[in-house]
Amino acid sequence: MMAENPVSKLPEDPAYWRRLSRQISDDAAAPLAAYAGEHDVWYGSLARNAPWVVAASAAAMLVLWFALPTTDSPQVARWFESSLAPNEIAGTLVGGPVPPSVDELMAQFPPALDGEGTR
Amino acid sequence: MKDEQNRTDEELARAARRGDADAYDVLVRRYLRPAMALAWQYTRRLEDAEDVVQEGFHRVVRSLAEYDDRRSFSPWFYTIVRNVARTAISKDGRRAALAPLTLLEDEPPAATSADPVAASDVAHAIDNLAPMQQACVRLCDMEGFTSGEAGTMLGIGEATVRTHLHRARKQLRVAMATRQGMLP
Repeated sequence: MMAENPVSKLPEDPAYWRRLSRQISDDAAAPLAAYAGEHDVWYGSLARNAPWVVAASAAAMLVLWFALPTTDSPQVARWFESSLAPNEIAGTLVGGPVPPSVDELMAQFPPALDGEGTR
Repeated sequence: MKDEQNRTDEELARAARRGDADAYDVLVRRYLRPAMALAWQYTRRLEDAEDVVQEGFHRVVRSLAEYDDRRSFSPWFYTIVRNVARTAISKDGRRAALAPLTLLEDEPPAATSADPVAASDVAHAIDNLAPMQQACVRLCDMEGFTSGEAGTMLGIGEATVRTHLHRARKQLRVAMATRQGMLP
């Protein structure tokens, strides 16, 4: 930053500068601690306990893994039956013995108004 | 700590604002000597300059929350030091006498430390310069700061510092020549 200069009005003794800088830094300890307190954000305690939080999350995942039913269990089968109930349209298209004719499809899916569905 | 030394002033100020004492220590070490040199331009006494600098740093740490870190740290810092120094000298109008100078940078007059009469002549000649010229001569020629650094410290442009230096050196040369009887 600056060259050594023999005519400087300031002391050259490094001990002087160490003492002065320590004194100034010590004076700042209280305000800096206050800043640190102000910036103790809401997730601070979470961050400090991060290892425990990770371990607890992993344990919870394992418990869920073993507690949840497998895909071939009766509970899951019942859920699929109830959530995937057949509907009429799917039955017409897929479940019928012959494919539906265009007229049947048109009857199932009425055409859109003029201009709709085109760009 | 090694990483701290490589961080910019603005990064250190931001860290200090979060309570990072190590970052603040680096700022203190980086700015202590320039701040003392600047404060000395106002107080002319080492003890008073120390007081100004300590109060300046105290204000800096208290004002860190207001510091806009998108702007450069040094002008903000020196503005605080200058304001503290102005307040200090307005409370105490005393000006200490300058100690004898020894030489000037690139245009040394006849004065040397071995010639106390001529050295005090140089000191006297510098005292007769305009205040801003004095500050520029002292910061650049005596303390070794660049004109850019001195400009930031004094809150003026680098080109203005150079102009002050040029005029000051010219004036000093004439003053010294007159004192030594080389000019009428």
